[in-house]
Amino acid sequence: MKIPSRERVLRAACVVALAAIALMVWSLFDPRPAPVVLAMSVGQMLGTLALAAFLTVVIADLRRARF
Amino acid sequence: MTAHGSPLAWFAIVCAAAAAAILITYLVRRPPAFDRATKVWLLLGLGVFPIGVALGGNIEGYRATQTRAFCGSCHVMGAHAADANDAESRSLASRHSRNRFFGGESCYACHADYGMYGTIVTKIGGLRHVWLYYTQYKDVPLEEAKKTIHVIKPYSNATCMECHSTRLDVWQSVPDHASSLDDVRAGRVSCASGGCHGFAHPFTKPASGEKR
Repeated sequence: MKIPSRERVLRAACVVALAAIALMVWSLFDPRPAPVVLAMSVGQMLGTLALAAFLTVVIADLRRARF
Repeated sequence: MTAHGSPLAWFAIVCAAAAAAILITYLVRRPPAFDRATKVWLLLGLGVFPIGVALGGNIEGYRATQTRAFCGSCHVMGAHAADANDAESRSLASRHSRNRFFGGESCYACHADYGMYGTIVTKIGGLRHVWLYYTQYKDVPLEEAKKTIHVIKPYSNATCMECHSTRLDVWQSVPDHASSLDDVRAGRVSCASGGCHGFAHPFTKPASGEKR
């Protein structure tokens, strides 16, 4: 399986994080059940995923620099 | 914006704007090098600021779920919300909704579980409501919903007794209270029954003589 490039992973993480932020902000402006539940579940899952992807890239970069 | 537009909501929005600016800048400029500066900016845009948004958003969302406006935002709760908002209504729900201490959160105050894990149990129950709404009640007309929606278990006097302890002299000086004290505390007689203080949402009960 081909591993996606660092730039591609980071760009995807940025897009996913923007989607997560949009969901969370939506719930602030429109605090009804669906937006609030979406923000607290899907929004946070996407945000966590984006941060995890970024940290994975950073760790891989640090390991590559060390060896 | 959330009903109160609190500083926390503004904090979350500022964090969201900062994160979005960083992320969009990265997507547009596509910096070739993954140097220390890029890492720090992305840490801010993907980590620090989004965590700020989540923190503010969670607390604000949690507060929002306790408001009467939130509970009344599904159409099947329209009649309940209208009655609670009616300054002329004499129903238990409306009278409690006019309480200046918790009136804005009267649905939550009266339907929350006050046990040790009450907050969690109440929130899980709320998620169940959302699920039932989108799977069963979304297209149910209000008139039908008024007749079919019911509490999952009999309303507990313990919730009333969170405020009305039944221990003060003024409460016990009411003859009906004094004569039914043990039954009220044991839950054998409901405070919110037709024979006592009336139903909390009387419009959901069939009119006298009408069969359900």
